[in-house]
This record gives sequence, C-alpha cells and structure tokens, in this order.
Amino acid sequence: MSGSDPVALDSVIHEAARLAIVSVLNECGSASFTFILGTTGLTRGNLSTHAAKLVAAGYVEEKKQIVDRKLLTEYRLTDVGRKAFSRYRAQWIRLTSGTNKRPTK
Amino acid sequence: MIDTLVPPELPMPEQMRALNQSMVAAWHARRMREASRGIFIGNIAMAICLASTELVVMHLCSADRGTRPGSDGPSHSWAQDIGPFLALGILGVYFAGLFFSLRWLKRHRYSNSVTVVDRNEEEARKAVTRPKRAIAILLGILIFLSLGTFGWIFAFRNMSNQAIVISLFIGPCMAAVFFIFRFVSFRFWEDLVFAGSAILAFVPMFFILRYDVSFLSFVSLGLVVAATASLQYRWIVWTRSLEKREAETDIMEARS
Repeated sequence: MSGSDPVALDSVIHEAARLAIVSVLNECGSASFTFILGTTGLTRGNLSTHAAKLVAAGYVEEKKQIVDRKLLTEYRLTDVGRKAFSRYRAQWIRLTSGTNKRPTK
Repeated sequence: MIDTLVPPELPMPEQMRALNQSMVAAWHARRMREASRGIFIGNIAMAICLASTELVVMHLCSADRGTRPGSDGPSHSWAQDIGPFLALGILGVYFAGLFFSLRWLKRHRYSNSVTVVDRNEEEARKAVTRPKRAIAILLGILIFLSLGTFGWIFAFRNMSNQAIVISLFIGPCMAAVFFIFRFVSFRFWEDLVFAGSAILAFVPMFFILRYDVSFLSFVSLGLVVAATASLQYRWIVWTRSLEKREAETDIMEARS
C-alpha cells in the first residue's frame, strides 16, 4: 500500500454513495441518519450498508441512542476520516487538472 | 492488510457524476445545517440591531433636551417622556425572546429525528467538558472587551461628535459584511435582510438632529424577527417533508 502516492484514490471513499455520505458529514459536526438520508437522496438500506463500511474503516463514528422512545442514530466524521477525505479531494483535484505529479515540499 | 487504494486512472463520466452529486449533497447539507440554527443567527442579528436601537432611543432623549425653542430641529418630546422606559422595555423583550426562542430550539432538536450539529457547536460542547479552556476563553473575551471599552472611552474624549457616530457605525458595517458573506456562502435571502437591518437600525443616528426617522430602527427589529422566522421555517418544512417520506416508506415496507 503506497499511502503517499499523490494520485492513488482511497477506494473506501471513492464509491459514489460513500463519497456523498462523507461529503455531507464533512460539512457537519454530527448528523442524524435521517439528515444524511435527506441530503444524499440514498435509500435506507443503501445508507445503512455504506455507513457500516465507513464505520468499519474507522472514518465515521456511529452513536445510537433512544430519544423519545425512538432510535436516533448519529454519525460523525472521525479525525482519520476528515484527513482521508481532504487527501482524497486533493488527489481528485490533481487528477482532474492533469498534474499527476508528486507535490514538491 | 487490505489495499484500500485504487491505481490512478482518468476519471470516468460516472465518477465525475458521483463527485458532482456528492458536491450537491454537501451544498444541501451546508444550507440545511444553517437553516437548522436560524433562531441562533437571528438572535445575533437582533442583538446588533437592538444595540443600535438603544443608542438611537437614548440619543433621542438627550437630543430633545438640547433642542432650543425656535430651532428647526425635530421635536423628540415623546422620547423624553417614554424613552428610558422604551429602551428598558425593548431590552426586556429581547432577553425574554432570547430565552424562549433558545428553549424552543433545544426542545425542537430533542424531539426531532432529523438533527445536525455544526462543527463549532460540537467544539463548544467539548469546551464545556474542559473547564480550564472554557475559563481561558471567557477571560480572553472579558479582557478584550475591557480593553476595548477603556480604549473607546479614551478615544471618545478626544473625538468630535461626527467622528464618534462614524466610529460607532463600524460595528453595524462589520455585521453587514458578515451577513453578506453568509449570503454569498449559503444563498439565503434572509441574510441580506439581516445585513440591511443592521445598517437600517443605525441610520437614524446620522439624522437625529435634522429628521425624526427613529422608526427605521424599530422597523429593522421587525424585519429581523420576520427573517428569523422564515429561516427557521425552511428547516421545519424540510424536516416535516422528510418525516412524511419516512412514514410513507414504513407503510410501504409493512405492506410488502
């Protein structure tokens, strides 16, 4: 695994549904399941499956609680997830702008 | 170890579409996050307009006392009679409104299945659990305000009346810039109303000796209330539509 490769895209985030979930969570501190559902337009099953994959990868934190006799699931992007997403975005920009070069520091 | 990196390739059209969809989702999330705390933003705008309105009312009282008989300046006799009560009354209504609106927001969030919390808000929640940091921040604000107050008191002694009014106008101008920046970022027309209200509330200060346009300050307060209600209503409408959709999905699943 070459983590420092500037153009290799993170496959956990690269999937369309997961990219949408991470993009939404990147804009918030934390968000409920229904909020993500409404903003991404995903189905419940899709969202559950992809959120579980993001949780397994350590990019997203899941918190379940009973509020008003209803189950409320909240998600938040972890620091690892936030860093991975910003790296992913930077790689995308490099890829789409055609400058597939290693950044010089 | 699972290789989580895919080799570099030129983006496919569907990948570009996915990226575009994620950007649209993020934009929608950003807007709804801001709409969800409309009351909070409205209260900030209200505090700015209120400070200007209080300034206008207090100056109307003193301006009337200074008006000599036979001068062509407007009469502010009403302000001399009820000015101090009006100033206190507005302040009381503001604090009552602040208390009830924030309480409503807290209850609304608690009872709603659609929740979103801003990153700054989450940081603030964490700061409460770390009392040393919270105390340091509060002390910093207090020192800044104290130094600012002493600085302005010293400066006002050496400044002309026009210069004082213009320097006081910096506050509403900064607030207007903040709300215009918010409008550019989130495209809510309510932010433009907040920006306009911040300026409008202070405008009577420029004409206090020539024309009685103090009603503009009160109009600005009304505009802020209306814009706040509209901003919060966006969130309510959206969450209701989501809950309705969820309920319909439940029914469909139960039938199938």
